[in-house]
Amino acid sequence: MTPDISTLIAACEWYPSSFFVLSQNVFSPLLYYTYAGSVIPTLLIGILLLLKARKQLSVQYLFLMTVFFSIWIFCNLVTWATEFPAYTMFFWSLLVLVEPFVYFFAACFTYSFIKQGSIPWKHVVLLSLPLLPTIFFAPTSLGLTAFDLTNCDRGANEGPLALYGYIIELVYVLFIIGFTAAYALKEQNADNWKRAVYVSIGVGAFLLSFSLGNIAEAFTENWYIGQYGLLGAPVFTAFLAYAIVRFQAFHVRLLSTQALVVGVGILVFSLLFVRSIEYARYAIIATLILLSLLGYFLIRSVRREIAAREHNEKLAKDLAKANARLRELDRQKSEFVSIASHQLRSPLTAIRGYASMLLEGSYGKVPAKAAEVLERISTSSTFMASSIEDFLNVSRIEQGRMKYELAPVDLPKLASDVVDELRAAAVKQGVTLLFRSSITGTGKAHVDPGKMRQVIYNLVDNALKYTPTGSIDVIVTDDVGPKTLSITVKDSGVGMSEDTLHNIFNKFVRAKNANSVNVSGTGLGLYVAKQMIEAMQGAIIAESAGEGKGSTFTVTVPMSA
Amino acid sequence: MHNRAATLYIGALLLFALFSGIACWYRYVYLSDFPYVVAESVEALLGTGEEEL
Repeated sequence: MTPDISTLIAACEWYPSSFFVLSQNVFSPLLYYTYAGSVIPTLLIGILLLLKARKQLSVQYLFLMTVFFSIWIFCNLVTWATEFPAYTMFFWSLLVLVEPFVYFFAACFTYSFIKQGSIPWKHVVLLSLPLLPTIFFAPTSLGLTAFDLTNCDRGANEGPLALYGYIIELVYVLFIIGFTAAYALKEQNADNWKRAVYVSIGVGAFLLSFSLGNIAEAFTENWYIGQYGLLGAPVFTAFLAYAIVRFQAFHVRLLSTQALVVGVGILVFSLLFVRSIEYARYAIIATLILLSLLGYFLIRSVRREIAAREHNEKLAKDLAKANARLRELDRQKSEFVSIASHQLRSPLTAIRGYASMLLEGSYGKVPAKAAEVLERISTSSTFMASSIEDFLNVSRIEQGRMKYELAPVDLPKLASDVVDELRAAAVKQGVTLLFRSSITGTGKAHVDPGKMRQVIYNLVDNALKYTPTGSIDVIVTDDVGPKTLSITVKDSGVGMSEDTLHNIFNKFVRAKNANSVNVSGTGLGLYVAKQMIEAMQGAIIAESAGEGKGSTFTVTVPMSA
Repeated sequence: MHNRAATLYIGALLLFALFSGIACWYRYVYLSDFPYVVAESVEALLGTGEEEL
């Protein structure tokens, strides 16, 4: 006669369980290690990712996948631990219900991550159709047929729905493989291609480690091997998290630091429940407190570092934008100056020309008083023409339109001519203007003659402007360096402070005391001279012992071969 | 916000799964409505169990 069920259950002498999962019925600690070791980090990664980007669809799907994975692990552990057949049946039926969901969400995650967007609702419905029979029939006898009391293993006999579950899991795996393969073959963009490969490897490995238990059991009837596979789940979830992080603007360091701290914390906390180390509880509590403190500071420092880096990156971006804006404004300014100067130059030429003709008596004799006025008109318009020429030169230089025609030029002769030209002005001013040449070679420079003349003129004219009394020496030499010639313009004028020396070659910069001796001058002459000399492969430097102690400008240019 | 219809659909799917889970609890735990496949004797039960373990 068959004994009754309660006799059989009592004969098995199952241990009582607490909290559903803590029980000596779970005779192998491996189960606890693998289950806790896989579910905690997996769920943690899912939660952390969700916290970081809760609006991102692929993250939501990954989170749901980790949640269903965790439910599955919990249910499985209960079926190992519980001594009540009713609980075994209930949690086992949940296993049948939950398992295909892990695969479904893995498929949704793969789809949305690769496509980087939402899944059309029709596709979601299509993907979920295989789940519907499982949802509707899980509580029926199609899910589980009976509780197995032919042995004391506390197992349930699975119905056709469980087999159906395995088949649809295979369908989802095939979908994931097919979808990523089709995408990877079509995709040209290297980043998108990598993304598809990353995610397919991650999802594939995750599902493989998840289903290794079933596969291993089917082929070897050894459930031990399958349990080790579960340990792969957090690794592959981490891999998926990395894939998301790699292609999104997440902070992988912060995420990994948080995961590390929380993971280690949970691990240490779980030691409190291990019976064999009861006496070490105080040490564990102390470790936990220390870990919490250190973890808090670690996370805070990483967060701060990231915030600082982000701030710097933002500043750099703003700076780049501002620079671009400034360059544009500078270009517009040069263009405006160029147009305005051209418009001014033409009428000015007429003014200068007619003033000169009137002075020369081309239109009859001019009264002395009127001649004086005409003289002023002529001088002022000449100065204005020179300023306009400076403006035009600046705009040409800045727009890169300045043309240089390099040729061998007799530098001492050129300098001597300029000095002769300005000698009258020097005499009128009461300044001694001397020219000296100590050339031993040919004295030929490889420069644009017009530009070189303008540079020398600017330097000597400047020296005259800022030397109310005293002397100006213009010296040409060829002993400053190999294959170079130099011109030095040395005056005993107002000199320059250290501060002015640093900026004297910038636009619109004049010596601080310049206005006290000379009100005319745009502050462009030296800027133009420097730009021209550098364009001709030369160099220009300014020296001064200080204000009131004179200045020396030295120009070096390449010697003609 | 991504496709609202898809979100609602998945929400409904999860809700049905929850109902299904509740139904499982109702059947297996609350009603204890499930059959047993039993061993012919206590000896057979324990013997098979030992071998399996």
